Amino acid sequence: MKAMKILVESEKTKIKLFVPLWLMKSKLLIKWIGGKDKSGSFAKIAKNRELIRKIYTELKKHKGLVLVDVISKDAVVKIVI
Amino acid sequence: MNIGEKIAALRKQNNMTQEELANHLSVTPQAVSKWENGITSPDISLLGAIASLFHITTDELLGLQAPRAYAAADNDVSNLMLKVRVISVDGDRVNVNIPLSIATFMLESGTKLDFGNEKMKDIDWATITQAVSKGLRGKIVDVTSADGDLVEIIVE
Repeated sequence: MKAMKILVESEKTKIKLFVPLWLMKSKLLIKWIGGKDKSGSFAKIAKNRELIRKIYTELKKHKGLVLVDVISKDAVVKIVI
Repeated sequence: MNIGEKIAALRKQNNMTQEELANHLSVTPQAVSKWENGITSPDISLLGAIASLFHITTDELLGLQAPRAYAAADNDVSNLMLKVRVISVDGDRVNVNIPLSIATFMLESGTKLDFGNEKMKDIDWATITQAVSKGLRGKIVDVTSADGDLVEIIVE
């Protein structure tokens, strides 16, 4: 099963998520992202079902890909497929 | 990408067969095949010749340095990766590796590719993807802003 490993670390938070890739197509997750990020680019992506489907199909082909790796003063964010 | 995959990619970009590459390097085609399939690696004494043949540095060949921008012979973008690196003076580091196909889908649907980063808001993504579709590869953007922030965009 392909999954997205998400790590978010800040001074007060440490989140490690293991999200099955198929979950990104679920309406619940899309609704949740839309609610959290009302005006941002993630919400725009989440609203576009066709785009989500295309992203999902492509990401499935890239096991081990480090999609995002951000290190700032306040937090570390890493997303790996 | 390991050195074998790199050699295979460079060979194909230069429309060269394994046999032709082997002749240039005075090795057997079987040796080239083994490099490309990850069974063996080229001898260290051949690295200079391979790099020189493809007009890159040995650092670029070994993946220690992103290749300079170059025009690829084939326009197939399906296996390309868009790599964005931002290093700001205040110590923030952003690395985004996104399959080019996804970047294209996002742009076509009107989604911005700034990944929430202020320093990437002014990048003309439409022009970049257009240039990539016409064969531009390697480090296609390498900008240091007046503030000292570094932005690199690599397609490979």
